[in-house]
Amino acid sequence: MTHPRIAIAAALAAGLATGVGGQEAERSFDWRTGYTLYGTPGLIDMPTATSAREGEIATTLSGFAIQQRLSFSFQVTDRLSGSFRYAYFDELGPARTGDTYDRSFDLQYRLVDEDPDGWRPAMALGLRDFLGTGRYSGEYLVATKAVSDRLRVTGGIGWGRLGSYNGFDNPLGRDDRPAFTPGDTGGKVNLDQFFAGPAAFFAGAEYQIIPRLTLVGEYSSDAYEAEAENGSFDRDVPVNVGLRWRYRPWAELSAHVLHGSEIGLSGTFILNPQDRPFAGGLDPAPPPVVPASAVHWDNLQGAPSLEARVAAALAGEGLVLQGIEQRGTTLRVRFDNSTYRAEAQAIGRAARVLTATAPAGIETFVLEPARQGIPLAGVTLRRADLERLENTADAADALYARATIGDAGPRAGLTPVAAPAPALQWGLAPYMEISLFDGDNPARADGGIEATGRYRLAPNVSVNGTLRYRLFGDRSEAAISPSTLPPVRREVNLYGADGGVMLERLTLDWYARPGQDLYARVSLGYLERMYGGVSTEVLWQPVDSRLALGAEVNYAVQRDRDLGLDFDDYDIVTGHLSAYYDFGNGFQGQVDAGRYLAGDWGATFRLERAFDNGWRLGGYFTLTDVSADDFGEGSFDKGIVLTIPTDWVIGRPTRSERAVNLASLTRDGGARLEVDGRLYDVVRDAHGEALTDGWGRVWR
Amino acid sequence: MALRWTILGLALALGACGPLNSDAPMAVARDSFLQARQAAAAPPPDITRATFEASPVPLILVAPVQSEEVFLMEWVGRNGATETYRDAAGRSLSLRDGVLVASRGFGDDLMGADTPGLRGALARGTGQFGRAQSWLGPLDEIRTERFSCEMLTLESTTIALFGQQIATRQLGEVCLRGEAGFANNYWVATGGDVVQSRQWLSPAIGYVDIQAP
Repeated sequence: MTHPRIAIAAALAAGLATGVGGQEAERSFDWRTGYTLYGTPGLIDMPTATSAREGEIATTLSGFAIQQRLSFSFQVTDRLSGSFRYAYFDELGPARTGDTYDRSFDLQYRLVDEDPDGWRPAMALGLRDFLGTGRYSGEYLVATKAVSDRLRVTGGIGWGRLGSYNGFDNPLGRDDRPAFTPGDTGGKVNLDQFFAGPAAFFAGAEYQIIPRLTLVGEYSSDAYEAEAENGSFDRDVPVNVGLRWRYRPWAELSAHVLHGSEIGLSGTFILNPQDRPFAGGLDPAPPPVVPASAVHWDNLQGAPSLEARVAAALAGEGLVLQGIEQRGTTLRVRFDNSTYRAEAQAIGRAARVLTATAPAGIETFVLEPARQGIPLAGVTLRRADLERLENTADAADALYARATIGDAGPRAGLTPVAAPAPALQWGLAPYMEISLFDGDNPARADGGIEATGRYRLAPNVSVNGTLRYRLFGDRSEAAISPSTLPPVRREVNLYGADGGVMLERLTLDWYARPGQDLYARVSLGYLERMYGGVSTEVLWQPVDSRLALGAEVNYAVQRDRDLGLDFDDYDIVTGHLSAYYDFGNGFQGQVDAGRYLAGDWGATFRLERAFDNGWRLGGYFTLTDVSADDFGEGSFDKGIVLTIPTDWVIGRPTRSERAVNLASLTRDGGARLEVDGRLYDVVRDAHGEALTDGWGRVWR
Repeated sequence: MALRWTILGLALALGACGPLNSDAPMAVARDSFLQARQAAAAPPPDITRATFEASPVPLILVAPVQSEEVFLMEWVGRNGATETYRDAAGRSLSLRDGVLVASRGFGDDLMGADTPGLRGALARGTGQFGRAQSWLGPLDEIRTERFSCEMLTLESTTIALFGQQIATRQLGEVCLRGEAGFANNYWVATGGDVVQSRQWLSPAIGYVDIQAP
């Protein structure tokens, strides 16, 4: 090999560099928190007042005796964490009624930060299983203090399960705690139970033997009453001890001796959106900015036209030119970005392209990113700023300060550009569909081949289709519990159960800009797996507005279960009025009020934490005029959706993302028509916070 | 192993004594740099001086120190004093008067750098100046860090570069921010061109060797 060998200076350099990079590496091994058998931050069964790193997603698989649990914990903010858990008990209850699956939700909020120099411990308030059937229900107030670098102690008071051993009278005077009722549909906030009934103290300690190995011990206030009663658990002593091994920053294994009689094992896999496997991504380098003084197109004989060379250069960056207008010293360019997740990155690349292709007399660029053929924003950049700021420190902020961001200009004036890309695009790929927790089975998977096609009739009009052919998996066994509602959603697993060629979607989609700040969509055809029909939508969303308002009206006809072209008898008009609000700091709220597929009226509330790198974690629930009894298991529709941007995973630019619905139980109440390409999803990336948050990529 | 401890101690000493004002740590640094004799770099068999001379555009040879990889980059543009080079894999480096100010396509890329005073210090072979460098953080935010730097002339040395003996001055640049920092090496030919360098790019990528014959 041919490195210039500069041995010692290099070694010196390497030593110094360790100073810069080393701190980062150490941080990932820090002693923030461990995870319990419930998959929550804590000791073994007992909680602690510690929190994970913001954004951390911990998936824990744990088991002991007759219980197995799969838990997801999210550090939603620095102080708030939420957990969703799916538990399996074989033969719970004295009657040994058979296998039981149970869902539960937890919340923990750190009220007080630890004072590392003084005596004040960190303190947190928590609710366990506050929305489920109540098997695990318990509330607590807990304090944790690091006594030394290696020893951390915890003490707290618990209610519910956490107040069941050695309890005393409720200090709040809330003596009556409604008992857990087996067979309940669950899903209601157990308000009458909170901090009610006897309370008890618990305590514990963690001792770091070596940096990654921790000895954990606790005095448990959980009497395991139900388990002891049904004979599935021997509770000899009130003490649990165990070892916790964080053998990689992203993996933790634990083994515990529970109450002197049982062995508990758990493994936690930790993912943090902030730990990007490919740092900023391996995106190919953008073209360099070319100073206007070095551009000589004006003098070249036989040079390609402005449109042709801009279109070709944009195509090289994965952008499709849709229109161009030269007026005085301003060049306005509209382009479709189907390549970069961050709209700012597409804008930056287009601007770089223009520095090399625009005539020397052009001083200002107006860049109009478009999707589905409709422009979403207009970003004005000065050519001189691009030349001056390229490759300087803080160039993104400096460019942002000099940019003007507004709505896109009118279509009038733009020279339309013949589509350089083929009108027909298609793809063939394997697919795998995993349905989690269908009430009978923790996970069910099927997979095969998927063909997608898109035929563009005009920039804003296209035909989109998806066909699937299943090679493995069987959906026909999915258990469907009865309901008094029309089967608008609960039989979704039976769709395509017979296999063969399945038409998942075939739609004609039309998008338009009916006026300033207004967007419109019409989709016609086989809209989703269960329904065909027509879906119409309008959206009002100014570029710099935190608020957006939308309205949607659909006529949906239920499809035949074989996923062919036929329809069933059931048809309905559904629709919603929607309000979207960007609270800042990555929090976005959405309310959809209207009529759902079963003809029920109500509203869906959604709150989402969006990370600037494209990760999103959202929770939603829907309340309609369907009663909890009619709804069945879960009482009402709710869920947690985790969206992972593909570019984070593969390190290459792409707009694709994967959404995983972690906690929905598909029933008929509060069921909404699924439509691809809803306007808010199309528009949001180019607007307001999303554009600003991704602005760091503008020079990427 | 002993060397590593020495270096670590040195790095600590540098940090502990503050931003380059004390003579003692700089003397230690100077001694270390001076030992940085360049072993005669054997050019890769398929890349010779003819490769550079035959190319219609200027080329540089790039070798990230951590990766054992060596590749050519082609000149693709000039903006002011900054020349940008790019390879077939889509990686690019931008050099301002021979000083690395940006990279793309490496992953943990240097987004841009302000290096006022560096050009003068390179010409004079001495001087103190500041540096600001920007990287892209995990949430697509720009992180800018400011370093205090000092340039040192280490020695005059003749290096072999693709079959040619070139008389150079070897300059060392130490940049610190608190206890962290980096140290760059430049070999400057008589005409003032940086013909060879080892420069720090980012925490994840580390140093890159650049030859521009």
